[in-house]
Amino acid sequence: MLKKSGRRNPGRVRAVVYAVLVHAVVIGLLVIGFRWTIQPTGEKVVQAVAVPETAPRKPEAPDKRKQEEEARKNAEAEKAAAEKARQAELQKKQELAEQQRKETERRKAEAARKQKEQAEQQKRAAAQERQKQEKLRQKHAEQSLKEQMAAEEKARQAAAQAARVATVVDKYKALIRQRVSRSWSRPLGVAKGLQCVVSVRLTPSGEVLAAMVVRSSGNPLFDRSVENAVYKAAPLPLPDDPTLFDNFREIEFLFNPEE
Amino acid sequence: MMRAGIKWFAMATMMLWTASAQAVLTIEITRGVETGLPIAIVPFSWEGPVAPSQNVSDVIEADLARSGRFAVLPRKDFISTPHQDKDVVFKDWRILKAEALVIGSVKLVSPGKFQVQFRLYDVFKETQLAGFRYTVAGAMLRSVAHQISDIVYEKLTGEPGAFSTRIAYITREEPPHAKPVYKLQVADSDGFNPQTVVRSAEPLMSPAWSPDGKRLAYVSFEDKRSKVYIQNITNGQRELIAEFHGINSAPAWSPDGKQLALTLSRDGNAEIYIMRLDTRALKRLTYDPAIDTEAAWSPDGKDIIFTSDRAGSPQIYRMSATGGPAERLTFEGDYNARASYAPDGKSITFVSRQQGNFRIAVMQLDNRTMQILTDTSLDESPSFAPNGRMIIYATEVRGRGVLASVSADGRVRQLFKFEEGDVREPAWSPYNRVLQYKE
Amino acid sequence: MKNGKHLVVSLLIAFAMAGCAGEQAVKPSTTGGGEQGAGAQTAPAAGTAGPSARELSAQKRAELLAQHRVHFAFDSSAIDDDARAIIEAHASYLVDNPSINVTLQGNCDERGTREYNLALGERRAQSVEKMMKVLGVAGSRIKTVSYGEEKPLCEEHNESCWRQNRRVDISY
Repeated sequence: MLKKSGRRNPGRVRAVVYAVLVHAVVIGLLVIGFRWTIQPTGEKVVQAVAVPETAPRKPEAPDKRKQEEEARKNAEAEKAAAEKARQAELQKKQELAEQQRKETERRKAEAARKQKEQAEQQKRAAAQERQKQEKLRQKHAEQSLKEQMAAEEKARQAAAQAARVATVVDKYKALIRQRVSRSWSRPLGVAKGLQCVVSVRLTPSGEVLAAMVVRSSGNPLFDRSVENAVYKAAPLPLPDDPTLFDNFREIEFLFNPEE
Repeated sequence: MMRAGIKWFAMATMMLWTASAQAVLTIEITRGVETGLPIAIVPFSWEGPVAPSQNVSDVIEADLARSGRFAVLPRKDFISTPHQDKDVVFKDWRILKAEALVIGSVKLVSPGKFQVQFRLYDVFKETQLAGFRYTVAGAMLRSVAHQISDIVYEKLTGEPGAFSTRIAYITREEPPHAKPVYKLQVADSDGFNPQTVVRSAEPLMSPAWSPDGKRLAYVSFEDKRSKVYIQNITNGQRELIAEFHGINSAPAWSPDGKQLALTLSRDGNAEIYIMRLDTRALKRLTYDPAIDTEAAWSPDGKDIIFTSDRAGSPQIYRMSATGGPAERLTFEGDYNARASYAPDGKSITFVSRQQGNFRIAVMQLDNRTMQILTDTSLDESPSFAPNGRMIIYATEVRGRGVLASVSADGRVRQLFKFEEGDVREPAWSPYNRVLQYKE
Repeated sequence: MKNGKHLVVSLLIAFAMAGCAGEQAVKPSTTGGGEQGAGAQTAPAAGTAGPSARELSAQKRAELLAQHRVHFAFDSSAIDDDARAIIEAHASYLVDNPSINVTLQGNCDERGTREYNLALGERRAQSVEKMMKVLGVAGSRIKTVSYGEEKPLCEEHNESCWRQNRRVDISY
C-alpha cells in the first residue's frame, strides 16, 4: 500500500509536467498564430444585401411630368448616386465586416483546432503515461508475486516441519493419555458426569514438577484420584528430541470419564 | 480501514507466535481402571510377650477388600515396612503406585490391656489423613480394627464405613443322631464373634433389626406354628407380638421403630398388616385373595414394598404405608420377591429368578433399570449394609447354606466363613456407634 | 353290631370311592414328568384298567390311608389325581371317625423366598382342607399349619428331592 502511494507521487508529478508542457505548447501556438483555412462546413454564408424597394410607380403628367420627371430624374440621379455611394460604403462596410467575421471565425476555428489538438495531445500523453504506469505496475506485480512465492515456499517448509513436529507430538500425546488412563484408579460410587482439570508441569525427563487442580469436579474424592493418576503415571513418556519439549512443558489433563 | 486491517493482522501474528512459543497441551482422559483405590496396609507391629489373638491389620485388610472400593496391595511387594511416622519413606510407596498407606502398632500396656495406634497417609501428597490411639481390652481388638477400617474408608471415599455394624442370621445344625438345632445369631459385619440370641428345636425365620439396633423381631415355630416375637438383644428379654390364627410372619420395622409390618393370614389368606407397637392395634393393608407378604418400609416411612402373586406369579409391588392401591414394580422375569430398600431410598434389592436360577437383583426406582448382581442359582434374602454399598445374602456352596456379600455395583463378591451347619436369612444391622476411644 | 354297621358303611363308601376311582381310570395322570414322591403310590386309578368302584379292595384303601403325604407341582397348590385319592381315603377315614381331628401341614421345596413359601405352604394345606370339607369333614376338625420350606424331608438340590418336599403332611 505504502509503496503504491509512493509510486503514484512521482507518476503524478510527471503527468502534471506533461500537461503543463502541452498547455505551454498550445498556448505558444496560439500566440504565434498559425493560420488554418477553415473549410466551410456546408453552411452558406449569406451576405446581407439591402435590397431597396423597387415598387413599380404610376406614370405622372408630362410637363409637370417632365419637370417632375426631371426633378425626379435628378432626384433619382441623386438618389442613385447617393445610393451608389451608400452602397459602395455599405459594400465596404460589409466587406470589412465580412473580413472581420472571417477573421474572427478563423481565429475561432483555429482556437478550436488548437484545443482539439491539445486535447489529443493530452490524451496521448495520458495514454503514454498509463502505459508507463502499467508497465511499472506489472513489474512490481511480478516482483511481489516472486516475493509471495518465496514466502509461501518458506511457509510450506515451515508447515511441513510443523507437521512433522505435530506427528511426533500427537504420538506422545497418545502415549501419555494411555499411561495416565491406566494409572487412574477411577473411584466408584461417585455421581456420573464429573469432570476435573489438572494442570501439570513436567521436567524434561517426564517427572511431575507440579500438579494442580484448576477445575474441581466438586467431589474431593474424584479430584484426588485424578491428581494421583498423574503422579502414578510419571515419568511420562516424552519425545527424544529435546527441542520438542516446549510442547510438553505444561499439560492440562481433562478427566472426563465416559459412562 | 486499511490501517485497522494492518493492526489486526499484526496482532494476530503476534499472538500466534507467542502461543506457539508456550503452548499448553490439552489431553482428555476418558477412561480409568476400576479396581478400587490402591492402598497398602503394613502389618502392625506387635510389642508384648504373647501375640494377641486378633491380628488388627489383617482384620482391616479383609474389611477394606470386602468393601469392593479398594485394591489392597500384596505384602510381598512392600519395599519397607514402617510402623512409626518417622520410618515412612513415601517414595517406597509411590513406586508401588499406592495412593494410600496405613501403618500401625499394637502394644501390651498392662495385663489384658492393649494400646493400638494407626496412621493413614496420602502417599502422593505425603500428608497424614488420620491418626488415632486406642487403649482396649483384648476382647475389643476386633472392634477397634473395624473402627479403624471405618475411619480409613470414610477418609478415602467420603462415605461412612459399615464395618462396625453387625449382622443377624439363622443357623441350622444337625448334630449326628440328634434333632436339628436352630439358632438366631448376631455377629460382626465380617461374620466373626457370633453370639447366640435365640436357640430352638424348631425353625426360626426372618430376623429383623429395630432401627436403634437393640432389638430383633423374628418368627419362631417353637409352638409348632409361626409366631412373631421381639427380643432385646442387650438383655435377652422378649415379647410375643403376633400369634393370630394362621400365619404370623415377615416382621418389618418402620423407620421410626414404632410400627411393625406383618404378614397374617387371620382373614383367610396371607395379607399385609401394620401393627402399632404401643397399642398393638392392627391395620390391614392388602385385600387381595393372592399371597401378599414380605413387606419392607421405605426409609422415609411413606411406602411399603411387598411380594404379591396377584398377577399369577410373585412380583414386587409398592403401596402407601397408610393403605391404598398397589403399583407393580417388576415386569421382567416370572419370579421377583423379598424386596428391601437401599438406605438412600433410591433403589431396591430383591430375589429374581433368571432362567430357573434365583439371583440377587438391584433395581433403580427412578428409571426401573434392573441389574443382576450374582451368577449363582440359589441366592436369597438380600439385605443392604447401612451405607448402601454392600449387600449381604444367603447362597449355597457345595450343598451348604452360606452367607456372601456383594458390592452394590456387583463388582466384588465374598463368601463368609462359618463353622458348622447351614446359615441363612442374614440381616444387616443399622449403624452401631460404639463409643470410640479417641485421643 | 356297631362293627357290622361300620363294615357296611365302609363297604358302601369303598364302593362309592371305587366308583370315583373307576372314573379316574380314563383320565390321564396329571402329575408332572417327575418321579412320585415317597409314600405316594400310584393310585389304582391311573393306568391299569382298574377294577370298578365296587371292587376297590379294603387293602387298597388301607394302602392309601397309610400315605400321609400328598405332593404338588412347583409353585402350585392344585391337587392332582394321586393326591386326590389319598385325600379321599383320609377324608373317609375322618368321616368314619368323627372324634378324630386332623392336622394338615403345608410345605414347599427350597426354591424361592422363605416367607413366600410359608404362604404357599399354607395355600396347599388349605387346598387339602377344602377338599376334605367337600368330602364331609367338618372344618372345626381340621387344623392347617404351614412350615414353608423349613422342614424339608431331604436336602439335595434336584427335582426328585424337591418334589418330595412339595407336600402337605396329614397327621392325627
